[in-house]
Amino acid sequence: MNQPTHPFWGTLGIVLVFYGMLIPALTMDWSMFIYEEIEHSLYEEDSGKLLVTAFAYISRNVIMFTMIFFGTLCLTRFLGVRITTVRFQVIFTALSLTAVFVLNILYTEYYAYLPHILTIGVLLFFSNYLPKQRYFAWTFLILLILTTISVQWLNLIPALSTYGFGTNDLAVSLKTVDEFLTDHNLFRTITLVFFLIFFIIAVIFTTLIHLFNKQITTLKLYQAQGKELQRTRNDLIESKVYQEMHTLVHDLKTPLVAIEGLLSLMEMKVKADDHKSKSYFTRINQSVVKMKEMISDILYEDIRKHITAEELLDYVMSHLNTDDLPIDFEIHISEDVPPLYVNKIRFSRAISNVLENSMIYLHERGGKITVEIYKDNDNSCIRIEDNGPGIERANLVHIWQEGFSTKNSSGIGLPFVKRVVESHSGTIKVSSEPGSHTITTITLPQNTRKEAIG
Amino acid sequence: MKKYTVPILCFIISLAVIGQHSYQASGQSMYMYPNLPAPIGKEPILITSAGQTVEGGIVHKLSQQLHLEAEYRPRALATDLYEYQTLVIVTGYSYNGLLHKKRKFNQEQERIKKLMDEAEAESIPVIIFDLDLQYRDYEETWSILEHTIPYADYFIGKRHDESPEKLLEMIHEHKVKSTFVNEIEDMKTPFNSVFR
Repeated sequence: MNQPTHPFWGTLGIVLVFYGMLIPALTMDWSMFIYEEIEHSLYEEDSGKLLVTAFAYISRNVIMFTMIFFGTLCLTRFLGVRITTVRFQVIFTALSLTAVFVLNILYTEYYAYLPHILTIGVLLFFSNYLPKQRYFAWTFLILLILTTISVQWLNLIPALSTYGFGTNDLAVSLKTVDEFLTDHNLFRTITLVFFLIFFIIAVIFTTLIHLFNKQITTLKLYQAQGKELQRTRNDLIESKVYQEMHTLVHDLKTPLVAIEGLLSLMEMKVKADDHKSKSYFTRINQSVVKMKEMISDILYEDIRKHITAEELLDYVMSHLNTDDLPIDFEIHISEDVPPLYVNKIRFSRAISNVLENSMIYLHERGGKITVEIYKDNDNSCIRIEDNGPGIERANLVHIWQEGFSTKNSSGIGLPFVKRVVESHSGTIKVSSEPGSHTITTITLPQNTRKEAIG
Repeated sequence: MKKYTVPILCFIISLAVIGQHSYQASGQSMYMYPNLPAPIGKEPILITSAGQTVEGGIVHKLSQQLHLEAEYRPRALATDLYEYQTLVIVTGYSYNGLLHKKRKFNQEQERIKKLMDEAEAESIPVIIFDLDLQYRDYEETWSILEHTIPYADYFIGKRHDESPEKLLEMIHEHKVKSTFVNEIEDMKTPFNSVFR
């Protein structure tokens, strides 16, 4: 329904134009009341009554023409014409004047065209300053009512009768009786005052809406600039952190080499029958080798090696602090899943990030996280599902943007996950049902391993 | 700038229409009798409306202010004329007036025609009032005038900014004495001259 081409607007347009044209027939009692009151004010020589009758006349016409013009606006928008185009203005003008023409044929009240041309001109001129957004139709309606009221008062200004204003039956009757009773003194002043009041209100309304819209646009611009600044700052911090981490990890190699060398010297001094010490040295050596591998994994993104799904998951889970948390972890690994060819440290970090995201929302209220690793055709899939609060549909499209976060974090977790998965030629997909669950599926193709081997 | 095309066009059209009216209104002068040189009518007077505008009531008010013995009967028939010695017809078509009197325009025309015929048959002088032809410049108003002016003895109308050529032609053609005034109040003088 938010779309102007929705059938609702078309139907509303037809209904409004139809009933707008039927107003003289449907409100015949009202017209008769106006006619009788004009006669009474003449017989009683009561100009006050004549003024009240003028209000009734203006109200009737405002209702009728507002319905017709708003109906033609709905119809023009329903036709798919963009409101910012000249085509829209031409079609709107043509439809509105056609409606007035048909009205004059249906009822021989002889409404003048000039006030309506002026109404349309003023309306389209002011509407150029209205924001073309969601509430355009309603702001246009308010402007239409104000403009119609002001121009309808023009119909009762005696001096304008010569120029084609107020030529319809009731307007002429009102003005003639006014001439007889007050020599036009009443309508000459009152109608001009009312015209000016409503015209000024229409100008003020348009100006306020225009300025308010400008203010909002500027505010949005500042917000976007602020976000961009925050993102750049985050990037800078991140790159600095990575740089320092790299330097630190790189520096770890020197003492590690020293440890390795000293260990081999110490190992040589150990007696051949001291099996216990030898086993200790073997285990220390293995740890040093593992540490070297880890350093290489961190320093060089392209380093990959075969790792079984169980091993990967064990590694991930050993780094997660899940003690004392009211969260149930359920892990299913299919037997047919081949070894994964990944950068162990980086890939584990990526999966940890996904799991940590789920845990953030579950660590207080509790819940369940299911991790499944299975084979799907030529792909290996890692599916992580939690029964947390889920992600709002509007936020779902922003989760890959760096700096975007709904929990005041840095907002670099998921973009990092995506980067890692894509660097492994994989894909990542997040689906969520607010209030129910969130599912993250990472798909890794097996052929990348073959290509890498090749 | 394109977005201002249609609004500017609307303003230009409006100004053109206003300008045309002003041009037509300028430089027109008419010379008419200010009032009748001698009375042509007698009291009592029947004032009726042809087209059912509220202006019939205004003429009735004028007659009251002039202390004339007159009766306002908007739907008077030809058979009602026997009581009166002068017939005053206030012309002008009103859509709402006819609706209010629950009449159709054809019925109104028929009534006026019979009234005119009866007035001619009885030699009753017919005075026509027109208060706002310039604004009630409708097809129906002209039809009423076409049916009434041939029977008229005197025509009292409002002076218009735009001189209605067609009306003047009809008045000349049927040799009807006429007076045009600037304001409704000024109609009292020619109206009075019909009887005194």
